[in-house]
Parts: sequence; C-alpha cells; structure tokens
Amino acid sequence: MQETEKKTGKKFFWVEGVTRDEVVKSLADQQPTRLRDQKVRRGLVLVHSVLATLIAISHLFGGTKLRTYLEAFILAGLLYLYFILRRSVRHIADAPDELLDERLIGLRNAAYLSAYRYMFGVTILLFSLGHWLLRNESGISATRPSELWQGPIFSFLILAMSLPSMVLAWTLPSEKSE
Amino acid sequence: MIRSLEDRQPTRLREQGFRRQIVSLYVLLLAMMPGTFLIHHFGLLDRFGQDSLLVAMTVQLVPMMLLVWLYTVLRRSVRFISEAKEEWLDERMVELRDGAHYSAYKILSAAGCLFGFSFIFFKNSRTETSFLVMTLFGVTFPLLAAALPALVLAWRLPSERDEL
Repeated sequence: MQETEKKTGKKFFWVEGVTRDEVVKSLADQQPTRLRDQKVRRGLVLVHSVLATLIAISHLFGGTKLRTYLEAFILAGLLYLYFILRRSVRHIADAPDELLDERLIGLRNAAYLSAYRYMFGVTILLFSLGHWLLRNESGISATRPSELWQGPIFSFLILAMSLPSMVLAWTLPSEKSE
Repeated sequence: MIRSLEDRQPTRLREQGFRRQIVSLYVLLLAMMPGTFLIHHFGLLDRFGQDSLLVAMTVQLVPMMLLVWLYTVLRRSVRFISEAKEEWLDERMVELRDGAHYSAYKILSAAGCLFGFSFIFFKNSRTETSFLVMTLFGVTFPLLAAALPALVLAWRLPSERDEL
C-alpha cells in the first residue's frame, strides 16, 4: 500500500469523494459498533429511503415557510445518514481500487451492478414525478417551475450518491456472524 | 446468450477498433435526441409552422431505430456479457461485467444530474415540457441506461486476437 501511495501520492479521491485516511482507518477498525449489525444497517437503509421519498414529494407539504424548514431538516437528516451508511459499510462502496483487495473490489462492483438497476428505476420514477408536479401544480400554485423540480432533483442526487452504500448495507452480513 | 459466449467464428465485432467505432456512433446518435429538441426549441424548425413538433419527433425516430439496431449489435460484440446472469459466466467474466457496471453507474449518475438540471434551465413558457420530458426520460435516458454497461465493455475489452 505504501508503494501505491508513493506512486499516486493521492490523499483525496475527488471522483469517489473519500480520503485515503478515512478508508484505510475504516477498513482496519476493530472497535465494536452497532453499525456492523445487519439489522441496524437495514434500518438505516429503510429510514434513508423514506427520507429520500419525503424530500421528493416535499412540495406537497403545507405552506412555503413550513416546507422550507421541513426540506432543510430532511436534507440534513439525509446527509447525516449518508455519512453513517458509508461508515457502516467501511467506505467500501466509495473506495477506489487501489485501497481495496480483490475480494472487496468484487463486493463493491457487485453492489454497483444492483445499484445500477435500481438507479434506472428510481430516475424514471423521480423525473416522472417532477413532470407530474410541473403539469398539475404550476397552474394552481404560484411556485416557480424550477422550485417544483427541486425535490425530485435533491432526491436523485442523494440517492445517486448513496445507492451503492445502501445495497452493500442491505446485503452484507453482520460482522459478528462472520 | 450461451451460444454467443461459445462462438468461435471470426467476426469484426471481436476487434477493439471496430467496437470503439460502434460505441462512438452510438453516442453520436444518442446525442441527436436532445439535439433535435434543441433545434426545435431554438426555432430552427419554425418554417414548418404548427407541424414543427411533429417534424422534430419524426427526425428523432430515425436515429432511435438505428440506436435500437446498434444496441443489438453492441450486445453481440461483447458476447452479451453485460446482461448475462452470474451462473452463465465464469469468474473472470463476472469480474468484467461488474467492473463495467461500476463505471457505468458513475456515468449514468452524471447523465441523470445533467438531464435533471436541464429542466431548471429550460423553464420559459416557450419550452415544450412534454417534448423535453419525452426526449430525455422517455427516449435518451432509457437508451443510455440500457446500453451503458455494454458500451463500457465494448470500449474496454481488447481485440480477441490480442488475447490469444
């Protein structure tokens, strides 16, 4: 690993959005934590999915002020959960090839295969929702079309970032049982 | 699919250069979809009056049919590896398939972001929103998503003669 480090000299991987230290430390971490429990991880995935759905349909909630607070709250929750999810799968989903061994690369790529299929469905669903909002709401409410699109776009961005981690968190067994 | 994996007949589809040409052509034809929308949006089809939208949709139909045909060729060129089930592939091929999906995921996410943000950009009253949605999420995105893993594989895989 030291050889690779010398070769690339990279400390932050921009495309993957992780630092070398973060991944190395997370992979070597032996401290007991509930995040290694499959049930807890699955719970996180479910809460994350519910919040992502809520942000997508946030336009349908109440007045502008309430909606803005709600959106900010949900977004903060989603971001927090995203970082927890990454930690729960030891950053495998976001780690570059050079920081993983063959088995972990295999796990990561297999997760991306499933994530790719979900991603296709999620995108079509979210943008159909955006289009529906645009057609039905723009005539009734005074909201600008760009605001109507915000919910589905935020939801898409968050899901695009977190789907591989979500798939891994759902499929990986509890580390105790291993 | 299994026949394709075992096929030993020489064909140009096994050459990397030829496969890369197919990939480039696919991407070019795919770009024509939003391209046609832009031509319509900026009034270059106004000479057709009320039929301009119909003309734009017809223009899209030709590359769309070509894309469907090219998609079948692409799949054949990579021996259907990108869509094959795990039990039909050996370990090396599973690795290749999953690796292609890893790269494809990142490209698809970027494309999704681009398409999503384009709705914020085209927000004036002149925009035919239904046409834009149909172009991006009814045609371009599904055709891109369906073919991306095969596109990545076709670009990456070396010529089969080189392997021998």
